Amino acid sequence: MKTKRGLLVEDEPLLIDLYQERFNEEDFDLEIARDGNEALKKADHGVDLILLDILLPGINGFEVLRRLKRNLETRDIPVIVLTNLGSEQSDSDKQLAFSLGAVDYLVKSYHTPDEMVEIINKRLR
Amino acid sequence: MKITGADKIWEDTPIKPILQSLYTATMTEDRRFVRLPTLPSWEKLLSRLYILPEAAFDQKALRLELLGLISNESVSLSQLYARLCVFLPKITGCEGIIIWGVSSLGAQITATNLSPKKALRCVETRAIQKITKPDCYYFNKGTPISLQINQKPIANSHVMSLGEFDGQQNYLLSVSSRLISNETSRVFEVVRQVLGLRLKISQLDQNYQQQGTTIANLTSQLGEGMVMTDGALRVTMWNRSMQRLTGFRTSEAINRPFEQVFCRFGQPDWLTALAKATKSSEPKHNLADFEILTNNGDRRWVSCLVTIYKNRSGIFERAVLVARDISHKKSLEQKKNEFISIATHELRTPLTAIKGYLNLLERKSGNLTEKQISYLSQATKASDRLGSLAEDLLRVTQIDQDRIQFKPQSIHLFPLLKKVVRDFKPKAAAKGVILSLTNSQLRDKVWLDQERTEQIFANIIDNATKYTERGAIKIWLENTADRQGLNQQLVVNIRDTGIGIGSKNVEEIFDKFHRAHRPEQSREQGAGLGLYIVKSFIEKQNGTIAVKSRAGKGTHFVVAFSLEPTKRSNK
Repeated sequence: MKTKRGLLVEDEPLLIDLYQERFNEEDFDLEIARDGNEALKKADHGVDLILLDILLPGINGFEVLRRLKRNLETRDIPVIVLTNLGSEQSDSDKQLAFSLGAVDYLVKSYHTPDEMVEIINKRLR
Repeated sequence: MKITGADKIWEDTPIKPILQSLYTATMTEDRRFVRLPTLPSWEKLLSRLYILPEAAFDQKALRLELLGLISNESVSLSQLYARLCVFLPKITGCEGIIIWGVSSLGAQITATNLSPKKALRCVETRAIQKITKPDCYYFNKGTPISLQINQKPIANSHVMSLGEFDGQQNYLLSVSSRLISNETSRVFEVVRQVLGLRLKISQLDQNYQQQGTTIANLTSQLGEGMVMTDGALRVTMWNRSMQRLTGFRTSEAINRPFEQVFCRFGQPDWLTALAKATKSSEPKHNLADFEILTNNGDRRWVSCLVTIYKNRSGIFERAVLVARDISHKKSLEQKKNEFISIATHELRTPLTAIKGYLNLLERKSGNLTEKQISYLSQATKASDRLGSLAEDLLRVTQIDQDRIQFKPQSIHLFPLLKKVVRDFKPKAAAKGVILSLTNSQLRDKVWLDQERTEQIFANIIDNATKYTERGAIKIWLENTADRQGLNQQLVVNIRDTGIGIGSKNVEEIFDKFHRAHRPEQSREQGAGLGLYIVKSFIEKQNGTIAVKSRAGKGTHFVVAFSLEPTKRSNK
C-alpha cells in the first residue's frame, strides 16, 4: 500500500505511460485525469499533490487551477503546473500560474522523470 | 577714396541700402553657387558715377534714378531693359540704345528705343561680328553706319556685354551721332557692372528655384516618406509618401509639431528626447524600427533613419527623417515567429517522451551490454541537443517579438558568478582546463534580472569551456567608468586560452545563426544562437558586451553594466 496519492492531469498517452511507469517505482499512487472536468471530479481530500497540464481538452489548466483554489475541499492541495507551455524563467504563463496558487511551474521537456521524482519528493517532504 | 561732391547725395539717397543689399546678396550667394568676377566696391562704383563737372550736377538726380532702377529687384528684367532704353539716351546723349541677346537659337532684340528695322540694322552692321568674347566691348569712333536717326548720321557706337541670364548672353549697343566721351563711357561702365549684378542675382534666384523644384520633385517621387523639421521641431517639409504613410496631408502637417503628425506608438516624445540626447554638432544618424499611429488611429510599422543637426554651440537646428513602411515585412516576420514558436512548443511533447523513455532505459541499464549503454548515451546526448536547440529557437523568437520579460532587482554580481562557475567547474576539469573566478572585494550592486543574468554568464562560460582544450579560463570583476566617463560600471571579464576567433569574424559572432568555427576547427555543435541571445539580454538591461580575440590565442569577453539603477531596464 502506497502512502502518497497524486493526481496527474495529462491528455498525452505517451507521457501518461511514461510518468505512470516511473512513479510506480516510488511510494506514490498516481491517478490519471485526461481533461479538466475529470481533474475537478477526481481531486478530493485524499490527494496529496496535483500535477496539472495547461493545454487540455475542454477547460484549460489555468481554469482548473482557479476552480480548485475556489473549492474549500481542494484549495489546500499543492498544485505543480507540469506543462510544455512557456518557460521556467520569468514568463507570463508562469506568473499567471503562481498568481492562481500553483506551488511550482515545471516545463516537461526540461526534466527527465528522475528529476521530476526528485522535485516532487522534495515538495511532499 | 574720397568721393568729391557725392557724399551728401550718397547719404541722402535711398539707394545706399538697396545697392548694399544687392552686393551682399550677390557675394553671399556667390559663395554657394558660382564664382563672380572680381567686382569693384560699391563706393568705387558711385565715385565713378558722381565725379562729374559741376555743370552736369543736375544729371546726378537722373543718374541716381537710373541706379535705383537697376538695383530695384521688384522691376523685372524686361521692364528694366525697356526703361534703360529711355534713360540712357537722356544721360549719355546717345540717340539709340539696343539691347539684344544671343543664345544657341540665334540673336534677338530684347529692347530698344529705335524702330525694330533700324535697331536690327545697327546690330547687324555694327555689333555682332565684333563681339568675340562675352566680356569685351568696343568704341567705334568715326565710322558712320549708313543710317540716320533724327536726320543725323550715326557715326559712333559702343557695345558692351551685360552678362548671361537663362542661357542667353546679353549685350547693349549704343549708337550716337556724336563722339562718345570718356565721361559717357564711365556711365556705361557703371551701368554694366550694376546690371551685371542684377543679372547674376536673377540667375542665382532662378538656379535656386530650379534646385528647389528639382528637390521637391525628387522627394515627392520618393517611395520613402521624408520630413524635415526646424529647430522647434515643427514640420517644414513633408513629402507625398509621408502622406500615404501617416494619413496627414502636406497642408495639414506643415508648421505642426512633428510629434503630433508622426506619433510613435508608446513613446510619443521620442524625437524630442533624441534631439536632447544628441550632444555632437556632427550630423548624427539614428536608425530604428517602431510602430506609429496614423491619422485614422491605425498602427503601422516603419523603419526610420533620423538625422539630428546641431550647430557648434550644441543648439538643435533641424531633424531630417526618412521613413519606410515595413508593415508587410513585420507581418511576415510575425507569422514566421509564430510558426517557429508553435513548432517548437509542439516539438517539446515528443522530446519529453524521448528524453523520458531514455531515462527509464538508463535506469534499467544493468541489463544492457556495454555497446547498448554507449548507444543509449549517444541518444541521450542527441535528445539534449535537440532540446536546447528548440529552447534557443523559442527564446530567439521571443526576443524578436520583444516578449521576454525582465524583472530587475538590486543584485551582487560576485555571488552570481560564483554559482555559475561552480556549475561549470566539473565540465572544465574533465578537459583539464582550470576555470577560476578571482576573489573580488567589489560589493557594488547592479540593477538586473537575476535569472537572465545567470543565463548570460552561463552561456559565455559554457562557450569558453567548449572552445578551450588546454590552459585556463579566468573570470574577474572590475569597477570602471564608461567611455564618456559619466557613469561608473561593473565590468565582468571572461578570458580563455582557447581556439579564439579569426579577426574577420569577431564582430559577427553576435549575429543570429552565426557560427564562428567550422566543423574542422571544433567538434562542438550548435545553431549559433547563444551569443545572439546573450547580447540581446545584455542590451535589454542597458549593458554592453565587447569581444577581443585572435585565432589560436584565446578569447576575451568584456561585459559591462551600469552601477546606476535604472527603471529603463524593465523593458
